[in-house]
Amino acid sequence: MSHAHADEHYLQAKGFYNWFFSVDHKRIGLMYLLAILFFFLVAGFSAILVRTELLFPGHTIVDARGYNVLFTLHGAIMVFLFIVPGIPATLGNFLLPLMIGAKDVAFPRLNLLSFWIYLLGVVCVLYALVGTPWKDWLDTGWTLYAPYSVQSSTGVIPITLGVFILGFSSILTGLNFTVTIHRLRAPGMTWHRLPLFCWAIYSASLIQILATPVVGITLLLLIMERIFGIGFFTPALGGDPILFENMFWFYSHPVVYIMILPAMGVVAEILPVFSKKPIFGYRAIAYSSLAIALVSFFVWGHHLFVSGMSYWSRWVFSLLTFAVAIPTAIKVFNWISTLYKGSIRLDSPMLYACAFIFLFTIAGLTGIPLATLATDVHLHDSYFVVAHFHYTMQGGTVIGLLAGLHFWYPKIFGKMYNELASKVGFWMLFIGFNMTFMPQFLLGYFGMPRRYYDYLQEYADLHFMSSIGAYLNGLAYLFIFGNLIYGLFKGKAAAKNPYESLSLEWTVPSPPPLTNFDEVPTVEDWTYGYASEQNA
Amino acid sequence: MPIDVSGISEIGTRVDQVQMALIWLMAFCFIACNAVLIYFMLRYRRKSANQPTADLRGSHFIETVWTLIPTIVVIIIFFYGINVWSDMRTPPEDSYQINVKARQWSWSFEYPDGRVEATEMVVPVDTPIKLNMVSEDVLHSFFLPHFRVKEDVVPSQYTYLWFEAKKTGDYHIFCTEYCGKDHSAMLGNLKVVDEEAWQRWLRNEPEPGQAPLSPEQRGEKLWEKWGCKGCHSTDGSVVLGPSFKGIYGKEEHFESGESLVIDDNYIRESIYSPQAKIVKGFTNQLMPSFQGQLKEDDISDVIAFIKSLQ
Ligand code: HEC
Ligand SMILES: [Cu+2]
Ligand SMILES: [Cu+2]
Repeated sequence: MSHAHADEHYLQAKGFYNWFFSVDHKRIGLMYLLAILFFFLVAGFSAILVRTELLFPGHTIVDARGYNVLFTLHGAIMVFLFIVPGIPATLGNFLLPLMIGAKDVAFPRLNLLSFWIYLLGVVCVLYALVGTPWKDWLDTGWTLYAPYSVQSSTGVIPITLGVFILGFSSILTGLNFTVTIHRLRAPGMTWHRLPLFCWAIYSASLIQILATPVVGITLLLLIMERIFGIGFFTPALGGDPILFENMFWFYSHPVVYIMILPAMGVVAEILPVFSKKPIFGYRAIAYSSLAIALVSFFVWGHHLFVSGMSYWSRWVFSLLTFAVAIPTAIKVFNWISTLYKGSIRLDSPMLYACAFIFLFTIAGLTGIPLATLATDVHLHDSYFVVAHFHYTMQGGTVIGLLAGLHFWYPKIFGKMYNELASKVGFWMLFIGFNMTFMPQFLLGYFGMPRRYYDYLQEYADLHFMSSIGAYLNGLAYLFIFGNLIYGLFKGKAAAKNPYESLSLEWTVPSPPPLTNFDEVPTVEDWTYGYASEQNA
Repeated sequence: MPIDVSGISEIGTRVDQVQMALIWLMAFCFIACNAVLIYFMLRYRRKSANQPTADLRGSHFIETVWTLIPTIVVIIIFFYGINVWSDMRTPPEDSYQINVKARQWSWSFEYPDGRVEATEMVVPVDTPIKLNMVSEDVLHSFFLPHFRVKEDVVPSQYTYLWFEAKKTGDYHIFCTEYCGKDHSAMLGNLKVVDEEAWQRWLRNEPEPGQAPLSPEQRGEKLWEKWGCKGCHSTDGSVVLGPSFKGIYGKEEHFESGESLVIDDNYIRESIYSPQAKIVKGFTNQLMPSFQGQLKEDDISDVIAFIKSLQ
């Protein structure tokens, strides 16, 4: 192993061994990034196939079973292999130690282990999805609802095993980050000076640690039921299918916030830098992350609003679900206020951050009729829900990830991408995305159920429009990633701090040296003191 | 497309009132937030490198205000929604009750007089209808988009749903819980008829001016309604099961090696316990039993229909 030179940067090492066995958080973050972006493209491609099938009513390119396999493929890969590891495993890994002035995470070897476990999980999941003859490809949907998943002859056991394994990776990463933030903050980096991205990662990590074991248990029960015929979820064996739904969403609802909180953190970092203004309501934003993490554990029942659950549990879960709206609204108001009287540069990271706010208000507001019992009964399991969560997941998390990638790109790679091209890509994405999912709100409101291979003629126009939007959406991603990859080879060398940020990660060279900081920095002040005029 | 459903049912009309209120609220919040966002983006765009910026770090007063306002708004929406939903979940005492059974991938409806219908549910107008629902296999969900109501249909557990139609006509029935291969084909039709037609339907009488159906015609209707059509053709082609063309009186060979001449008894057995004798070469696709769904009268109609296909 080569001895780290003070001025050797982390990208210099070449060769499989130096990366795959490296415990450096930056390399691990980058390997994760490569992996999840690959799966993002794979799952995105299957979405394109899904939308192609739905271009017209009836058979377009595949049969009913083929369609069910495709949307399962799309959902399972997006959720389990891309968006759950998502921002924490990539930007979180790379930036968290740099932002708090640490040389690495608390347990670097555990960090590498998380990555390896992730890869092992990937193998199992892919085996279930595409590793068997076509007739055995999984067709249960990513939600694996019992008793269909108990009866299905497809790869339910390998995928549950895979998700079970991925869960360990997720828990270990969460644990690692939590300890890192508690123990490794540089002198002077008090909790109330902590960058908001770190607050967000911290909140998401708590959810990862607390919620993931539940899905592990659920999936274990499912495996036992399939192998030994022990009745947990199948009524014929004395089990209860609603129990599966409860257990599944007890994990899978909080997970939504593992996905979105870090994206919110990214946005909170970008807004002040590009407005040259302190973030507005720092504590409100930080604590609302924790509040969201807490409340997220008590709202899973909204996925069961028409499941046959009792009157009063629906009542209570509706009320609790509304509680999420409050910290979310607080965040939006504070972000927007940050721009007030600023000096705003609309470079691509800032464009993405503002688009995040724009799209996220749609995502959040359309959650209201889903939380309201009277209207949810109609909208439940319709395209309205599909549109709503794509606004949170793609409009929120993916746009947040892209904002972060464009913002920290010069730091991570020491290069600059083409700004004009990135703006073109941004607008393609913005238009394509809205064109895909706006029609789906209408479809859902007009009664179109989700997961339908075929549909009535009366829904054809809106489906067609949505599919055309999806093509533009897909093209936009190719363009955006093409530009980012081109920048790696042909981009200009990046300055140490091109956007004049005050955060610690920008005080080290680009790309950062292997050891991050020559000596442990001492933090004197808050991270967000950007204003040119100082108040008395 | 169920866009404007006002007048079709009272609950549906009220749901849409809530929905309209929420649409206005969403539109208002969306426009307010983003108008401010975009205004700031343009108004405070950096024009010179040393454009001054204010040191605004927050305000307890403002934070309190914008915590309280959403809190109050969501509490109001919550109770507004609960009010309508409570009625949606409370069927009137005197509701007419129909038992709904879901299976992959069809609906059947059992009326109080024991009559069983598939795919199409006929109900009288201006009468509250309560559906007691259960599934025979996996999860399904019964959805009447024009009435703005749905409820999951669960194996071994009864769920319910009620509605009252104020207008006659045909309305969609959708399955909205993913249930496997033909989930999207699990459609049905709700036929709301006036009192007179309802009474006629109950007595199995034809529409006025139409001759009563012959047994063969009734058999053909059953063949369509119960989805036999999906597996059995009438023109000699093999779909998933053997064709019905010319089978009556012919000799049939079975997987077990036995054979017999197709007669009434055999057809009856094939419908009630299809697995008793498996036709040679048809081991891939299992025929579901129609025990409890097709009654003896129906069976003789089906037999008449098959006989007619020579
Ligand atoms: C899912 C497909 C399917 C459906 C729906 C179905 N069947 Fe069948 N049916 C089969 C298959 C496969 C066979 C041959 C295997 C067997 O004997 O069980 C068969 C056999 C039969 C036979 C014996 C035919 C012969 O040539 O010996 C009769 C009679 C029959 N079905 C009647 C019906 C009627 C009446 C209905 C509707 C009420 C119906 N089936 C619905 C698949 C189906
Ligand atoms: Cu949820
Ligand atoms: Cu279904």
